[in-house]
Amino acid sequence: MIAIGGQPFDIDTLADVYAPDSLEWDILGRMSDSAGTYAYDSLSDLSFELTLRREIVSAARALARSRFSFAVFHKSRCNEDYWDRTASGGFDLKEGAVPSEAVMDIYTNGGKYATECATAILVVYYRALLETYGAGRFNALFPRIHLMNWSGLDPLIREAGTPKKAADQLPGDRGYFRNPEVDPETPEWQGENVIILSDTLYYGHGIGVTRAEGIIRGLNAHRKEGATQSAYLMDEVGRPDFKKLAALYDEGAVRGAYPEWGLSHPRVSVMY
Amino acid sequence: MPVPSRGYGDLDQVRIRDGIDACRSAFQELYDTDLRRAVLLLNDRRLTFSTLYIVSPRIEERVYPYLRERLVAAIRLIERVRGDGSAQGGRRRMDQAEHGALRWILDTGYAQDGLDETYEEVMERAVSLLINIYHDTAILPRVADMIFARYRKGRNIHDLTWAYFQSDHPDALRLIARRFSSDDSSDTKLARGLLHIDNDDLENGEYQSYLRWLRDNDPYLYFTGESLQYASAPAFYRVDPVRKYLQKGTASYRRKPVTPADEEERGRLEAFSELAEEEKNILAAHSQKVHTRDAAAWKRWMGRPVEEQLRAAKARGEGSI
Repeated sequence: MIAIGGQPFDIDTLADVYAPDSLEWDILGRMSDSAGTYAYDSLSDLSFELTLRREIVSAARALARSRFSFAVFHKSRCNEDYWDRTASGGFDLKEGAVPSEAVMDIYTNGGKYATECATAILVVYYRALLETYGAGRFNALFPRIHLMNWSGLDPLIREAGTPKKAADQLPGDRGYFRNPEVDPETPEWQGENVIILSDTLYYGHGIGVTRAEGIIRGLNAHRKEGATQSAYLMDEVGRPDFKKLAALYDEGAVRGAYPEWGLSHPRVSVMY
Repeated sequence: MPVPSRGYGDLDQVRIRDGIDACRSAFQELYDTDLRRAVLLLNDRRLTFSTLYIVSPRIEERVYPYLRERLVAAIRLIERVRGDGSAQGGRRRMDQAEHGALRWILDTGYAQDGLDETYEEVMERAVSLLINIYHDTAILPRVADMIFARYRKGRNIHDLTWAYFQSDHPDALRLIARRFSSDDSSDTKLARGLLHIDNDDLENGEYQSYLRWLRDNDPYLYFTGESLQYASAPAFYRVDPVRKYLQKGTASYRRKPVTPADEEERGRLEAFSELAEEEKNILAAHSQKVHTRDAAAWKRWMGRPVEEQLRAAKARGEGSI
């Protein structure tokens, strides 16, 4: 169920805001039908989460279409106009580079980049936050970006690095397929971080957009000799703290940080 | 530059005395002019993996039959890491010879870890094979040294750490806990992170304190398979609260579900499973305390309803697991 301000919330209230075939409406339906409780202080917090989840899914699909490729950290590469490659194979935003432009460059010049699956999920998060906040607010909130799986996460998205059991796996969640009997020579196949796109589709860097069976098949092809245990989707999910990020959005709205959206932005249209 | 030791072969002496480029050039010249002598130098028992790695790009496959088996195994591993397509046919054999070759790579190569990124990857694969295929836990102290040395230099520790914890061996924890007393703050930071210890959990004499904790919880400990690919702060190991509550330890460090001995225990387990995680930990810790103090009293305590046990545990201010 969904609760706002401690009261059960009827999603039909939002039937005029979200189209019946929209991702947001799909998520609302799942939340409403859930055995768990999705509790919010305000309607705007809920709408922010829906917007960010939609942007995460869009950013994942867009990354799958880009030429961004897979490489282990020792062989990772990036566009050095925007990023410095670190000694451990991660990418740090280059001094003087504009965060929003650097994130978008990964999409437009994907062929210049290669890294592991977890880092790709981070790229997805940053693109989604950029689309949600707009460049001005995004650049103010994320002046330094470090891209390397879940290490050294920005405090604003730290929670995404700590998967937890959840009542549901919703579009926009980070899932993880574990490969318990991976070939010891290919530890990069020990698991696959994915963005859940729908109830049947996942985006995993290096594998693409596919069903769970496709990801499992990919992982199982990299098991050690004589392995008997299949890869599987774990029941834990990684989520950023949507409420914390919503509060930052509201703070920006108070400061007039989103002039380019006006009232057309879905979040804003629900807020006012 | 260190003075070459008499324990080194000729090629190693050139590397140590004159540097990597000079060693590579000298070998190339010898290889082109006197292949027999070049092979002899490679087959020198004192040759280290580091030197083999440096000269390996020059060594052609036609020479492999004249090389020691461990050298060929090492070259094949380097080729696989470099992604050389021709190496695909040379998949590893799981036998004593390969085990020996991998140990030779690690033992004679770890000191030069960080030579370049491919070298680091070769070392990681050697460690991974030794632990995952040959279950060679004798290498853990050396691997722990490599992890901490890399961390101090800001190098990549992810796959090395993953392989290390795949050992499913409590020594992996003890070796890391030793760094609690390191003078280097980055060592203590990493040790705490790997063992999932908050700054306030252990204060004075923390190494001894951790060892006591480990001894008390060893029978209920299991390795999770979590890694830095999965989470920011993976819990590489955990205590199974169910086993600790029932005081049913196991020799395995992989999680194994408890099979209830009888209907009474099945009921207790069901009630226990309904508790919140924190409550499970409180009850498990209390159970251990009662059992350690008096086994007969513990049996009587276990006969009480779980809710009553929990109230007693909370009343005694039982903390975490």
